[in-house]
Amino acid sequence: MNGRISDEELDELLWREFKLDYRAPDEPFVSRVDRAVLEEERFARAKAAMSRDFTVDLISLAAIVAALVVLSSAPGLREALAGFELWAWGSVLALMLLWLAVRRPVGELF
Amino acid sequence: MRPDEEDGDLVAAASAGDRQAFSALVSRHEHRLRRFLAHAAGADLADELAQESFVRAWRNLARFRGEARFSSWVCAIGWRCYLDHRRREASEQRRRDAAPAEADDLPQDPDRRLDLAAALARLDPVERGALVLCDGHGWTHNDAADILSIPLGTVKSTIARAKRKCREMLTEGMS
Repeated sequence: MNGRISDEELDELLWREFKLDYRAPDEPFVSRVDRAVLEEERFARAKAAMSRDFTVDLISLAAIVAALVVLSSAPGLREALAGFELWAWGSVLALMLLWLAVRRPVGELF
Repeated sequence: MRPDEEDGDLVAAASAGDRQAFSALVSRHEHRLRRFLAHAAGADLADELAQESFVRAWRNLARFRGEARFSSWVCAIGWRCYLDHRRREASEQRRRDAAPAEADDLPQDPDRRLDLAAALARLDPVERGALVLCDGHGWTHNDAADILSIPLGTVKSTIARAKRKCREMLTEGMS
C-alpha cells in the first residue's frame, strides 16, 4: 500500500472516528453530576454563611471598640481606665475572643 | 418544538434553581460534551472535565443570556476546563504517546485507524478541537469559533492545517 491518502479518504476516516451516534442518556453520569452540583450548592451556602458571620463579627467588634472609645472620654472614667492593669485589658480581650469562639458551632472549630 | 426551544425552558427553570431542570439539560447534552472532550482531551480525562464543565455551567447559569445554544455554551465551558487543566499540568509531557481517543467500535481498517488516532494525538489542541467540532460533531465554523474562542477565519485555516498534518502523518505511517 503506497500513495497519499486522498481528501475523501481522510474525510471518511475522520467522520468514522468522530461520528456522534445517538444513545440513551448515561444515568449514572447524570447522577454523578447531580451530586457534584449538590455539593457545589452546599459549599456556596456555607461560604455565604461564613462571610455573613464574619461581617457581623467585624461590625460587632468595631461597635465595642467605638463604645469603649466614647466611654473613655467620660470625665473620671478616663482616670479610672488609666489605672487598669495590663492583665485587666488582657482579660477583656480574652472575653471578646471567647465570645467570638462560642458564636461558632463547635464543629466549625475542629 | 425544536430542541433549542425546549432547552430554553429548561435553562430558565434551572437558572431559578430547579436542579431537576438542570439534570434534564445534563441528560440531553452529556453525550456530545463527553465525546468532544474525549477526542480533544483524551478518554481518561473526558468524564472528569465534563463533570467540572456542568458544575461551572450550573454556577454561571445566570450569565447565560441565550445568545448561543446551551449545547455550544457548555462545550465552550468544557473547552476552557480542558485548557485550565493543561495549564495545571504544564510540567507534563506536551505530546502524549497514547492516543487521545479510544475507538469504541471495531476498526474497519485496523492499521489506518491506529494511525489516525496517533496522528490526532500529535495535533495541537486547538487543531484537534476544531477538527472534532466541525468534521465530526456537525458544528458550524461560527459555533466552533465561539466554543474555542478563536476568530472565524482562524477556525477555517486551523482545520485546513490539521487535515494537512493528518494527511502527511497518515501517509508517513503507511510508507
